[in-house]
Amino acid sequence: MAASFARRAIFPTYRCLNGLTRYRQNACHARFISLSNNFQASQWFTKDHEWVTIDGQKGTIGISNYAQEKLGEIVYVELPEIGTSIDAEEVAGCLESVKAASDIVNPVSGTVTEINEALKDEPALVNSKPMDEGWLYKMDLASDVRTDDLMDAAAYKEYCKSCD
Amino acid sequence: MWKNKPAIVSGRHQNPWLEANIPLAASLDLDIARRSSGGGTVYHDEGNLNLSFLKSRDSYNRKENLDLVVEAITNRWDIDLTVNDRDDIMLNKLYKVSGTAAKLGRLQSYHHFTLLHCVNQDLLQRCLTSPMQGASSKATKSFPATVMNLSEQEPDITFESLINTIGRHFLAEVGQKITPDNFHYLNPLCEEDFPGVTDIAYKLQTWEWRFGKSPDFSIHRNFTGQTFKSRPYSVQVNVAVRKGALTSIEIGVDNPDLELLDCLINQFCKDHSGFLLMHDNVKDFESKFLYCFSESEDGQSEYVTEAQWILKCIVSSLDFL
Repeated sequence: MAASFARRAIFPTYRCLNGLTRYRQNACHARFISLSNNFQASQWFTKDHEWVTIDGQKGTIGISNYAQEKLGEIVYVELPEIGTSIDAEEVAGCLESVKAASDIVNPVSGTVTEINEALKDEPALVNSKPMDEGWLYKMDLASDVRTDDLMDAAAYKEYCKSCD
Repeated sequence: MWKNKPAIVSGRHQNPWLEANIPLAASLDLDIARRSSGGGTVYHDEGNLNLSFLKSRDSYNRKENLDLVVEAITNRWDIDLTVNDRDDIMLNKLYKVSGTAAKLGRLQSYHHFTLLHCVNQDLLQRCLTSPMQGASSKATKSFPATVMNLSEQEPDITFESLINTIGRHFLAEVGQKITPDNFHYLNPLCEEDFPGVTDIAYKLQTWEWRFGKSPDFSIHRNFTGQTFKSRPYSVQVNVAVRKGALTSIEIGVDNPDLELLDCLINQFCKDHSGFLLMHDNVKDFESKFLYCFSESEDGQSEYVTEAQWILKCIVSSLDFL
């Protein structure tokens, strides 16, 4: 009871902050990630066909369906060590398919907190479920993470058409 | 296009101990290398031509490169060469003369493949047959195949004639003839021409890259034929390896009279594991073991023989180094 009352008291403040943030976004054409718990998790895509789901300060990274199709059947997934700090556009690991060994290019700066252990025994999970169970690793995101160079789902869909 | 002195080259995510005969390679002073690209383990010597097609990521096309080389060779020599669905080049549709691997970076790519023209086939087979037993691993596996040398079909095919034929064909595709400017030897380790290559070469030669990068694996062996107090028993040895280091050695002896020894040896193994899988470290482990489980004043000599047998089992489980 006390908790929900407290939430009601806090919520208006967060909504206000979000409004300010959006105003700054429109004014400066820069998108920064708000630290509000009220902020919905958002999914972004890179030109290298990786995706990152951002939820507060946490990020989950994977490859898109387009990427897994192009790679072919994945036979080994090489993931970063937990605790490693990786910048955006740095190589985070490697996906070996029957066709090639491909770099996993990290989409946003952060520190690795978890890796998908299921991929040790079932690397092809990245092919069958690239957008959910086939996730690669999770990170605590750097405080200055930007999504300027990333695409939302609609923009990414258009981008894929231009790739073929 | 290049050739190198005899070496065993494993794929990026492979386990060289599982794919090759490392003790044999060591005795013959052959190099053991690991590529950055995927694929299986191969044997190289100067009878093998390596071709690396370095292109932008967008221009990556394995079929194109393989077709170019097959065309170049079949235009000059009358041999039956085809590319199969695994991107292997096959001679007479039966014998593998080439294996392919590739690496895709963000903006760049390379596709490289071997071409066997005069390789030592006997040594190739021996090198690619691992003595390792009882291993479980998630490392990528090689696909063994029957190989043949191109020179067996056409004696005229040599390193020189191949590079000239392929080079000429490659340049002709873009309307050029061979000149010293567009066709010449280079030193791949020249830091001036290729900044950063010295660091890369150093990293590729470390034990950590060549062996330590092997995916986690375990070994499970069972040894029988020993008796204690007229009762036959078996010894199970379980070894776990992570990043090339022995993270645990566990033994199991199915003889109740040896329960204490089982316990003591397992404790010893717990205290003395964690070392990198190298000959010297195993020898060190052995000598410490023999010291700990040697004859003592209170006449426990009957156990010493069994301890030494168990040590033999452990060392035998690691005889692939």
